[in-house]
Amino acid sequence: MRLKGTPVSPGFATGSACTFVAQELAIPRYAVPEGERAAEAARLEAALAATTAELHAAKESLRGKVADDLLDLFDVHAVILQDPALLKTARDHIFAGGLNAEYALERAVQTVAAALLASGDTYFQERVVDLEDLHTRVQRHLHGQPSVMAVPCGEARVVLATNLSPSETGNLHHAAIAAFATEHGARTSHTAIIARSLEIPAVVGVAGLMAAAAADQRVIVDGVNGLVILDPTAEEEAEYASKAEAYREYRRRIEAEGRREARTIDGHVIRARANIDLEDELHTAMAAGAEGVGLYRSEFLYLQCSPNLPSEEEHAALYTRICEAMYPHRVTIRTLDLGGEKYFHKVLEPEGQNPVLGVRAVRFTLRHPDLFKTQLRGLLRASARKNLAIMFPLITTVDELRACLALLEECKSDLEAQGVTYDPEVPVGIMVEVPSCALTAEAFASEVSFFSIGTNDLIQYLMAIDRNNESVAGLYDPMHPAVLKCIGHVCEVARARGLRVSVCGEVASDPVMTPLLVGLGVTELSMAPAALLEVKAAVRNLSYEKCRRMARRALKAGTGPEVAEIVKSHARAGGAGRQG
Amino acid sequence: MTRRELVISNRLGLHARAAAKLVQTASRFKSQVIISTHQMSADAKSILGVLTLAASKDTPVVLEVDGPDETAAVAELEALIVGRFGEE
Repeated sequence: MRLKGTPVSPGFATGSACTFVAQELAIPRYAVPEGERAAEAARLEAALAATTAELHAAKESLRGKVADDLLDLFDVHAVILQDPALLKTARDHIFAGGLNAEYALERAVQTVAAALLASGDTYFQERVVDLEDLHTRVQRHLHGQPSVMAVPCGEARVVLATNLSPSETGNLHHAAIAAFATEHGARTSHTAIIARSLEIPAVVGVAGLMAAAAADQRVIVDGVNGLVILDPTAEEEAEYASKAEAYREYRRRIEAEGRREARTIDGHVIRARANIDLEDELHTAMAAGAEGVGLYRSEFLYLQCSPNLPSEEEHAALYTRICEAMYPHRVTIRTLDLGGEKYFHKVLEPEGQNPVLGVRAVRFTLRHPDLFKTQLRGLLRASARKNLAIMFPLITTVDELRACLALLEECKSDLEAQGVTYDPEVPVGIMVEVPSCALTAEAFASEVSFFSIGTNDLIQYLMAIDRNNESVAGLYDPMHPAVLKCIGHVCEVARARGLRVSVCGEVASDPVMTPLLVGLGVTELSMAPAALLEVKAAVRNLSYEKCRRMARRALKAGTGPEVAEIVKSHARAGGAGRQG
Repeated sequence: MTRRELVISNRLGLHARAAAKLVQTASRFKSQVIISTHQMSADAKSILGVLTLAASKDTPVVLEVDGPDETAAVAELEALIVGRFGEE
């Protein structure tokens, strides 16, 4: 029997079923005499505390196995449980109304759920599911039957359940779980996110699952196509055994190759580096095979120090740690890019109507040379290992670049006077994200050692769109020929001068864009660590020569959809074979 | 009482994770913390209250903190909101 659901975590698995049907808990209703109400309230508080402890344990059991921001989800649930409004309403029902703890809690939860539903906002309506999940857990504690999802040891089992709360999903990795499927849930549910993170194949939203499933029956979970097959035939089992093996082989291959450089089939090497905001992302980046950091956004240091400014020593210490961790790979640090749509800090002046076009990035730092020089001296102090590069954002004119370089020279003299060692040849580059800079790249080429194309801003400025305005989001098209012409021109200039040219915008992490960027002449791609394995795998399937020809055709196109068609036919012709 | 006018500037607004951080921070202080939009006010120590504010990106909010540790509380809450709750 085949049931269709939503695939939320890829992979294939076969095993015998372990079923968990959500028990409808009967909520008792009785009156509590006045003298016992304090004890009743204490009973409720104890159940809330026990549930909080359960969440905390589930969170700790996942620490280090999933990204830290996923762990935050448990905190969301914990603060819901500790909510004073919820507790106060329930206590009022106990003390004033004489209700028992179970009923008082149910009433309080209903009040809050109604308020969330009344907000008319999908996001808040989804929180009702969380609230109800938590409610059930607390009720189980009140009933003296805390939820225990025990999965028998031994053979790998497929877990089939009405629904799994994030903490229950978290507990699953202890046991031999091959996959799971649930009757409820959606792609964005916390459970799905954690399943992907743990790499357990999963399908959710399988209508009719629990009515059809029986304990211990054979089950196949197809987390790629969103299928659950109950009592599969021998042919189906054989088919899925080979699919599972092929998938494992694919993962093994891209992981094993991850650390090796990304080289096209005709031997052209593309450097794959990581975009990083926070120091603790470094180990994820290294595990994913990052060949250095292509973009370190230094804004976070300013925010961490807010309302104060980071000192030269704080700058130097942070950058030194990053350079040491990445050595011998290169670490490119972007100088402060506060302003625009980005992070706020007290040092910023009040902005006009359109901050994206106003005083931000070097436009700001050049007006505050003391603040700028503090960062530049910090950068130089961290450069002694010779693997640090400095990058200036939002450069619009050559004069701006020269002003930045002049300040850098002053900083070098300062350090020399103090006898501090630094790299006198420290590579300096610019972010190419303003059309004026892209179109006159040759004017900058003799004064820098690399270009890094920031496509997010470049596209926004080229297409005259505000990225946060959904009404014009449709105009945001990385494949528009105007975008390709700018990237192509910068690459031409870089190639003639023997400079490195990197792309560090979101397009660098999209494997569909990879052949186009390689064909245009980009030599480095810098992206979120999570995208590295797949983009490197995409590069290994490409022919550099074919990409060059395809990019030339794309540059002659008149519209974005025409370019998309050219890219698609190139992929179909085997120019970018991807695992499908 | 200390009062501070701020703008929610993170992309997702005061969604659950950001709201949880706000509530956790507010709950560390003894002072009473009220957060308000033009439409309504909520106890900043109540996630459900904060969530029902439905403050999306660019919503102006007012923090009113009253109590023995109000100065420190305002500073931390302001850093959190201005720092976009640590989101990108």
